[in-house]
Amino acid sequence: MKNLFIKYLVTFSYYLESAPGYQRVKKFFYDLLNNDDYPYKKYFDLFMIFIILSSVAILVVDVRERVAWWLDYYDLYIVTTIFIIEYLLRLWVCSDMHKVIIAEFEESEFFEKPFSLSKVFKEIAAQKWQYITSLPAIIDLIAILPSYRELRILRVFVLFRAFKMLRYSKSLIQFFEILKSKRIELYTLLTLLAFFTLIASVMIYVFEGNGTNPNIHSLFDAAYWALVTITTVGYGDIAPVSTEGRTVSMLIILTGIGAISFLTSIIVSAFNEKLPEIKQTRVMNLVMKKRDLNLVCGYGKIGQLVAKKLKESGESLLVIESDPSKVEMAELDGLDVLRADATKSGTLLKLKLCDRVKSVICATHDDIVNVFITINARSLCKKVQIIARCSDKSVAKKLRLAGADHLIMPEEIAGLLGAVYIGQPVAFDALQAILTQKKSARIDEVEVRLGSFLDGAKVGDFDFAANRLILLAVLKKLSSKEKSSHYVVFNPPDDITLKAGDILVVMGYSVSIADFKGKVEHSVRYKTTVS
Amino acid sequence: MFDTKRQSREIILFGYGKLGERIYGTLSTTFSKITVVDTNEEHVETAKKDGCARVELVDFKDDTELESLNLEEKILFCAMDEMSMNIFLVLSFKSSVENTTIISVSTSAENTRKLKFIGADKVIDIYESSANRIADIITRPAVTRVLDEIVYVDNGISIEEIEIPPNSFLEGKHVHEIDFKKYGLILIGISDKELGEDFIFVSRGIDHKFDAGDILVLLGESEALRRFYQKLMEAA
Repeated sequence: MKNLFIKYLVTFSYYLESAPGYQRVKKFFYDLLNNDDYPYKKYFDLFMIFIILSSVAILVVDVRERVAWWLDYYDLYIVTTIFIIEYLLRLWVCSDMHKVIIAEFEESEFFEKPFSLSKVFKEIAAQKWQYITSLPAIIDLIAILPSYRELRILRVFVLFRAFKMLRYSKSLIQFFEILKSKRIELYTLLTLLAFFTLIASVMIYVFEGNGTNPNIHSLFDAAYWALVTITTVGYGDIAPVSTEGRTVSMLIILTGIGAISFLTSIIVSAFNEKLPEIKQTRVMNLVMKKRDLNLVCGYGKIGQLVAKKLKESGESLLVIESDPSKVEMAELDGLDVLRADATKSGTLLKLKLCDRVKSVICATHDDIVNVFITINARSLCKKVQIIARCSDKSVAKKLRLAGADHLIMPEEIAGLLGAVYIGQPVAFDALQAILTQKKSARIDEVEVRLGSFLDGAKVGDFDFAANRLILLAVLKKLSSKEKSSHYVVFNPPDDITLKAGDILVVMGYSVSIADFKGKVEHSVRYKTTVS
Repeated sequence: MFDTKRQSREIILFGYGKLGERIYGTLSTTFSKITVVDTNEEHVETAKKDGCARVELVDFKDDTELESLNLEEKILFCAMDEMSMNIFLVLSFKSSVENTTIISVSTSAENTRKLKFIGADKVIDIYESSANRIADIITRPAVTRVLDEIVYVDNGISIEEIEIPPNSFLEGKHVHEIDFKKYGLILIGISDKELGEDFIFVSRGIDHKFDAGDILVLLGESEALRRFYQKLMEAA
């Protein structure tokens, strides 16, 4: 009987391990409950916050007047059910039971010893118990309790529902994290305050508790007075009447002021210390929303210029810099900065290199560092575009090997530009004007969109000259799969047929180019609505 | 290369340090008459070792030594590693010689401003140019690729400027009358001496009338360019 049970248990565990449906569902709930990067978690969190607030509101209103029956019903059944389901789901996803069974089974097979059911159960129970006894789980459990209306005292636990909100709000968690970093100072201060309160309350009780002060009847009254005074709140419902009592209050008022300012300074300094960290989290949150991110690694001369230009052209970018003074500079320039080392794989992994990053720009002044960043990025992602700056010619080869797509050699560029200028000054100026876009003439690229009037048309079909454009070249697609594989056709003859995915490189004034782009864009919309 | 006048001009490269060495490397592929000048003996030695034909050791602070280089009518390329030296050099050229083209390298917007103020004809900010290039690769990859093929890659496609000789077949014609596509060329713009040195992009839509002395900026295959140039000269 027992053996049969074990057999079914193990078979079932293996079935679960290999069932994609089960894994998917579990992964979904895990992400929904615990994974901050999961896009739908946000909505779940908002939903839970709404549920909590509504249930707290119902309970508060219920104190003095009766709420509508259906609200009561909602609070009693729906909210509680949601809480219970959430609690059970969390319990379910916190660990994998079938894995424990499989592990034990494989171990017993390997060592040829009998399968121990009790060991498996103990193991599973231990894992689940560890979750149940964790603070958030306890709060969750207590938050379910107020639904039991027969015991009015249980309603106090409604506060735990408010605590539960901590789970769904990052900033609240952050606040407590910050306070936690100053644990020792806060403990010291609290002990000190407790000590002074105790002394003061005993003293006032001794001096005035014997009937001198009609308001002090017990040690509790004395302690209440001491705390109200020491925190500089001073309600005034109890006031010392004797000289001794007044002396005591004078002393504790002074200590109180000291303690309160100490407390304030602790909290302020904690925030100050954590400020860079808070900023980093904020930057990460912002950046994580973006796609096609450009990483500018290094905020030196080139990094600064590149960042400025990319920002101007509306690209999303993130500066990665490890030097604090340069980080500050980038922040002042209004950029998103991550204070990290781009040569570490952790930094790039955190940014989801493959999914969100369009290009990595290695712009540090050190060639070796640029090589490291290139290797780091390329080893993590095959398709990301890497642009590396390098000064030394011998490093250039290594950078190519490491996987850089484009090499930028400032000294080389100076030579090339110089050569072009000496040979063809007029052409040089024209090119400079087009490139820097200071004058309104510029070169731009227009992609042939699927279904636009250019798709399937011949070059000669469109009168570029009449539209005040010059068609310099067409980048024809080589294969349909890869985006990068284009070949260039200069001054294309009129009978070349354009296909979707080809890129036209046109020269003209900004207005003409914008107009042309608009025409292409517009024709796409038209065709799709027709078909 | 059709403007042989410029081609044959002599270049004097000042500085053979980190920067100068690389610049010499790229310049020497297109130009033959390059003189390297430096104050540092070590640099002069490396220049000789690298095979520079003409190398001079000159103290830049001594004006008579500079003048002995015969700077007139030459292209002066300042590529010292220290920017202050470049500024100083441009200043001494401006004060002593005329009829030269002064090109200087710069490493910051600050220096570029100073060099231009002193009177350098062209200032190349190496970092600015690099940054421009990086930004272009990201924002306009196709454009960058096409320009690269034109300017840097040796594949027969180039951008050339051709001065219209007197009495050529273009004389008195308007832009719309000439079908440059027939010649396999693209006319990008014209620099008209009469209208000042301003460069007119064809795409602006002004129907310009060709005159002798106008400089055409044409894009096309070297062969097509050469044929067009010959035709232009024949008619003249």
